[in-house]
Amino acid sequence: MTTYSIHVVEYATAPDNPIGAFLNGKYNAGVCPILFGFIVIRGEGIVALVDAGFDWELHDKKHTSGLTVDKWESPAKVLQSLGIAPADVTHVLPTHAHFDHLGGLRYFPNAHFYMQERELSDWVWRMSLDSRFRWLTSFVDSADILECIDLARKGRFTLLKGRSDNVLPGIDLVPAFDTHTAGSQYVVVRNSARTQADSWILAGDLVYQFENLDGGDAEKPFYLPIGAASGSAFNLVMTTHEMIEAAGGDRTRVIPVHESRLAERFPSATSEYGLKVIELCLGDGHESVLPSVEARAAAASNR
Amino acid sequence: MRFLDNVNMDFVAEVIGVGPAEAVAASHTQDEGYYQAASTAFEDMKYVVALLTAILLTDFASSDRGALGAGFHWRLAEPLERAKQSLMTSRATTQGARHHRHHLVVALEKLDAIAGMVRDGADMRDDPRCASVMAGLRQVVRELRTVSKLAAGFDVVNFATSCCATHAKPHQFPGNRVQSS
Repeated sequence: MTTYSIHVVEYATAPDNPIGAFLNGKYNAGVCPILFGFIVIRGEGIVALVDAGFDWELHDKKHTSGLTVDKWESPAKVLQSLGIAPADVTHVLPTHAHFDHLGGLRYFPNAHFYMQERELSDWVWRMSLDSRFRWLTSFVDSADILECIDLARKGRFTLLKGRSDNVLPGIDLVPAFDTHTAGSQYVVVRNSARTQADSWILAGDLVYQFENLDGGDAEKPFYLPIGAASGSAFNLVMTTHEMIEAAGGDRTRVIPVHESRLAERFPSATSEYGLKVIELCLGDGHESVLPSVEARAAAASNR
Repeated sequence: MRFLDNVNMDFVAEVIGVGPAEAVAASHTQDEGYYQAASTAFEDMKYVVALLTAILLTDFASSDRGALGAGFHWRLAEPLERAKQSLMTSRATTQGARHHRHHLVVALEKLDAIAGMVRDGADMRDDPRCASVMAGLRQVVRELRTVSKLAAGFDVVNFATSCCATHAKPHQFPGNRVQSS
């Protein structure tokens, strides 16, 4: 029995990003595209998102320095591919507090949110340092934290103290402290009668590319940590091992959400917005959404 | 020239209701001093917003109310005062710069009022002023976003150093040799 369907729904792309940010030490390896996506877990009356995306509508598109984003579309548009609206989302599991994972909180009016407390308490602690330490806090948008506070006031925001199994049936949140960020977490979906068999690991930014999982050497794989991290490369390597173990040793079950080549590894379709929908697995009784995505895209191009 | 070279004149023109050419012409080097002072004020105000947010977060969502440490509220005073001084001593002459300054001043006045409310270190969960503090902070954030759209160099989030969004454009530090990959 497979409980959940899992899709990666792309909502934006960024064309030129330095590979050194993704693969530790590859400083002169050029650039690569990345995708920004929601991972959508559906089944048993649950519509859960891993990460809330970012709100590009609030930022000045042509005037923001340091980020080139193209094709950003709102959650309302991209989630249509799965036949759902943002209001249908019941749970959001932000992997960490960076703007592109926490910036879309306001789009999901009925969701409950789960994060590691340490992700926010460390940010608070770092704020208590003087301005020479500001790099440590520069990745977080205070406006996103304000949203968190508002959600907490409404009882829709739960801060977790470490590992939390079965936050949702068969879905575990596992901390990875002092890795990409102070309080990152990854999501384990135990998709076969809630056992470890058929598990999927939704890794957030703990891995960016397939090479983080095998070093680019499929025959003699090794763990290559990401480049962009405020925590420890050692902890990233150990967490990578832990995630692959949680996937029963199958590193293809560890999903790097920014990896643009996911669409080459798993069945996918391109929507009318030019954005990918990637089908990782289908729950029992669920049909593939890819034909309808392709049909809508074809209809839009004929208009 | 960091700011004046990059002022978003389409947006300025749209907001203040003049043509882009007029807006560009209005951007004169005489406002360079203003934009430099405004940059200082903007960064200090961002810092104060973050501090206030951290205080509220600790009150509402953290199990460790001691995380901020003693005297944390006191830290609000210095950057606020510096922001005030920066804006008070600067002079904006062109329409675009005046418009920019207007939003910064609105944000600063609001921020000052909010800081006054939370400076005593009371637990905001039990404070009836909490709703106005939250609403005020949201307004400040909106104003700062507007400021960031009116001129380059006023980034609300530092995307240039930010995780996966790290950009490919070479960053020029003084004296370094930039080589495109």
